[in-house]
Amino acid sequence: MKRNRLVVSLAAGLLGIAGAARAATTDTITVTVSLAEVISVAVAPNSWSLGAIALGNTVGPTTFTATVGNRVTKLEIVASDGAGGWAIGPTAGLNQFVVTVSNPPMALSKAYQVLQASVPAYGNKAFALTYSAPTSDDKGAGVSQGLSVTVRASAPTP
Amino acid sequence: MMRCLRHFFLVSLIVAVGNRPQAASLKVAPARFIVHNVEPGRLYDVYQDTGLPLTIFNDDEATATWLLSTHRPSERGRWEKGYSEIPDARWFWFENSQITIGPHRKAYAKMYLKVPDGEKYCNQHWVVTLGIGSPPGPGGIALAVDVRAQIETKSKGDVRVRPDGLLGLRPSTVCFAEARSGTTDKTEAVLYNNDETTHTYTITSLQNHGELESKVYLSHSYEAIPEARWMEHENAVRIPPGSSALLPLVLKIPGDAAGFGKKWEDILFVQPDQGLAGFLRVQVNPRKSARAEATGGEY
Repeated sequence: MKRNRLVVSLAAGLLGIAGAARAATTDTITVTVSLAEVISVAVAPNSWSLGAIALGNTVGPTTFTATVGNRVTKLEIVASDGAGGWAIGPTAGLNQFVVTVSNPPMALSKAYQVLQASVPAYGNKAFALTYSAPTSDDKGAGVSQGLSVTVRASAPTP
Repeated sequence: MMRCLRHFFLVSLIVAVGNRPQAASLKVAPARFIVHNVEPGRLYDVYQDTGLPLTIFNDDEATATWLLSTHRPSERGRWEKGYSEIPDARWFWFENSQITIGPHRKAYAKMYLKVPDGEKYCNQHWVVTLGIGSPPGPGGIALAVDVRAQIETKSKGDVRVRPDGLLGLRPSTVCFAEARSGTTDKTEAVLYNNDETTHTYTITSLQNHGELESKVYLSHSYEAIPEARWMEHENAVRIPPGSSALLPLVLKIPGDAAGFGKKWEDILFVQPDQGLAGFLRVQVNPRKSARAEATGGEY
């Protein structure tokens, strides 16, 4: 039913093209779309357990694999601050932790960075994350410092 | 003692986060789409008017919740050549800003579109980015997908105001609806320089841009014109600020051309010396020559 409606709508739009060379004029919106093409990302494993860690210590690398769907896909990555006030940064410090990526080498920040500009259809991208805890802390015990690392997929542009 | 206690909390919280049920995958269809012929001032229910929803698949074992949002594409990176950013991302929106999907199920997100009324918004080519992603908060590994929607407003040749944007074209789509082989057809568009400086605009066919995917630009049921050189046009135009220039187009389909029965399209990019490109969509409905039709021959 949905597909039929789509086809009807497309046809209605194209019928309006008849006539001499002129601007296209129809009253119906139409869409151009490939319903077969999806954009997707799957990351395995789907969690990151850091285990016991002390201030000033480093955990990792932990390897992840991001797999994309049936089209060429750009992958980007970003991280958040800690929930309890620790900030993500390029170097470990007071209340500041670091998450680095192995390939390409970079320190994650709160702005998206390119993990891979173009992953082929059905391809994957392996990357490893390393967590370096702050060297010191004044937020106090019992404060949650969990963070999230987000992998984003989109169609690449030249 | 305090230092040990701090470490204990840090460890337990991150492990707990890691063990939370998480969506491991996110799949969205379509990957991109073009909405053509949007009339300013009119509210569109994209699903009702075209049958197209945004489909989100949950292939995981756990229920997943996703946030839906719309953005100007510059907030999310680069976008398709020839398109401008939608002036206001709020002109395109989802029915719900959040969607929850059970394991191994899919859900449809309805989309709406309304461009403010005004002739200046005719002849526009915009991109809006649709964001689908995990809710904020400490969540271990999160996922997001961006879908770029190409919005093309109604092409009109008789608007009385300058098109919106630094670069304007009127109309934004021209059609050669009865283009016979062996003959010459002509049409024209107007190119506006709405900037405050003089620009020289270079005009090139999509076929001159091997780095671009033609399927990103071509309309449904159209295929690329067999030879871009059949469409003659100026290669470069210099326009002072606030002025405009005619862009004559001459279509010459050779008498021995093949491929009739198919509709052709070309995208003519208009690239200023500084700034973002625009484009003119050119559609051709080719016909055999009158002689060929009379005799049933090829030409």
